[in-house]
This record gives sequence, structure tokens and C-alpha cells, in this order.
Amino acid sequence: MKTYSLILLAVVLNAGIAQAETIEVGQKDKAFTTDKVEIKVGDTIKFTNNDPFFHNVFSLSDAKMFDLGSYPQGESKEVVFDQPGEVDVECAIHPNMQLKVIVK
Amino acid sequence: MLTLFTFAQPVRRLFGAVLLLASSALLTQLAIAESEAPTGDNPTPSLQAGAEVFQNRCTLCHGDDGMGEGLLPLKLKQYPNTNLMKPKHPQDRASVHDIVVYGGTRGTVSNLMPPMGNDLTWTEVESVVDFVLQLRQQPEAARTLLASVRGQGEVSRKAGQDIFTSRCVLCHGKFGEGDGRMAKVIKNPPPADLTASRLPDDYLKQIISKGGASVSRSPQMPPWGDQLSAVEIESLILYLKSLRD
Repeated sequence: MKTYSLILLAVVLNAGIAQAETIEVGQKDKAFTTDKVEIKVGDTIKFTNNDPFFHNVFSLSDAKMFDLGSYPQGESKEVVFDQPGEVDVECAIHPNMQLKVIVK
Repeated sequence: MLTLFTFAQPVRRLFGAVLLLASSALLTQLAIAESEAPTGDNPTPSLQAGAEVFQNRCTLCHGDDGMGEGLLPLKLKQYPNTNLMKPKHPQDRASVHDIVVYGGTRGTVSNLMPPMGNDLTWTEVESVVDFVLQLRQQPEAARTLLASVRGQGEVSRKAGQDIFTSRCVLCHGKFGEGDGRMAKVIKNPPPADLTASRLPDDYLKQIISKGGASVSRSPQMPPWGDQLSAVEIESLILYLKSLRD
């Protein structure tokens, strides 16, 4: 019985780890490559700068407040979304860049 | 008869209103005349002419590179997205042509896009349409051409203020006191209080164009050298100095 419980626990934990995904969002032509993305709690978004100039990524939303700083073409930065809610992601250099992340 | 009359009256009114709306829309369309091909000198459309039209007529909303960073969208929140590189914008020549001539009057794009059919010559319309397509297909070549037709502009405090309010208030705050929205997440060090700054022009030029890391200060201060021209940076410095205590 104890062995079965341990196996079950391992399966549940493993499933939990496997569910967390990394979603790629590009920054191209002063825009995010998508306007809206839906993810799960624990998922990561990887932001890759595909423009020949610097980009920044930040959010001041209550569900996730962060600033990934500025980085040049070809570089990526990641952020884990650890709470449910709506997160408005912006670029400090290009004010018109907007991305809504729905964390479920 | 009375019943018929009372029934017919609202129907007639409704029909009249629909007719009025339809004729009004038709008149709007007819009022925007598309120029005909000229027979005089130099009627041939060119990318050079298109870049000049774009620089003079389109950058206010679409920005200096067509990527939507015009003064209007930067200053007015909730302004429609004016980035021409977005795939959702019409890509074929006929659609771009219609948008230039009729603007938002046909409902295909925001009604904030003005109809240019009455203001541009045939050559200018054809040229700017070709230039917009060039921006999408060969952006680097188009932007080089655009830069070549752009005047240097003059250093002015007003231009500096426009840049400050659209680019810098996010961190440094409306009055430059370091209390912008980003002060919530930028803590160590916090955004600089520009009213207390006494930094010389050359140092400001360095930190603005190459970022904070270039002078061993906060890496959160981005490099603006590839976004702002030399004249724009000088204008910004002029404005920053006017904020000082």
C-alpha cells in the first residue's frame, strides 16, 4: 500500500513538473509577435529580441511585476508567471509594444 | 386607413434615415476624388518621391520608420496601432492604395486615418503606395531612403519635452523626479532624480545614447542611440536642464 502511494505521489509530482511549459514570444518590428497569450501558472515566457536594436520587457501588473532590463538583437530573457491573473507586458523603450498574458 | 398611416409613418421615417445615411456615405466617397495621371513634367512615380511624401505626411502617426512611433500614438493613449509592419494590416497594393486615397472612410482601417486622395497628386499617391510596400518588403533599403530625405531638424526644448513625455516619464516621472511608474520595480538604484542632476552635457549625451551601463551606472537605463537622432538627444538634454532645481 505504501509503495503504491509513493508511486502515485511520484506520478502526480512528475505530471506537475511536466505541465510547466516555456512559450516563446518574439520582439520584431517594434511589436511583440503576438498580442495575447494564454498560459498556465508556472509557465515561462521566453522573450527573444529579433530587431537590430535594444528592447526591454517589463510589467507593473499586480499578478506579476518585473523588469527584465534592456538587451540587444539575438538575446533572450525569461520570466516565470507564478500567479493567476492578467499581466500587461510592455517595453520601456517602445511604448506602443503591448502584450497581454492571461495566466490561468 | 388610419392604421395604415400610423404604420407607414415610422417605416417612412426609417427608410428616410437609411436613405440619408446611405447618400451621406456615398457623398463622402464621391467627395474624395482620386487624382488622375498627369500629362505634364515628371509624372513618373518613384520611391524617392514616395519617401518624401511619407516623411512629410505619414510620420506623425506611423513614425520615422513606419513602426508606429509617431508623435500622436506616443502621446495619446488608446490610439490605434499604427505600426505598418504588423501583418494584420493589408499587404496587397490595391488595398494599400485604397487606404491612402480613402483613409478610414471605407471602414477597412481606423477612421483616424485621413483620406489623402484630395491632398496628394496622382504621382504622390502612386509613389507613397510603392514606398509603403517597399517598407514591408525591403525595410532596410526603405529606411535608408527615408533617412536620406529627412531633414536634420533643429534643437529645441519643445522637441526635447515631447521626447521626455513619450520616452522618459515611465522611469523618471512627469517632472523628472525619479518617481515614474517603473520606480515600483527599479529599486537598486532607483530611477535618477533629474531635477537634482548637475551632470555636464557630454556625460548626459553618453548615458542617453549608450545607456547607464556604459558609464558604470544603472543598466536599467537603456541605450537610446539607435532610437533618437543626435539632434533629438541634444533637444532632450536642453529640456532635462530646464527641469533642474
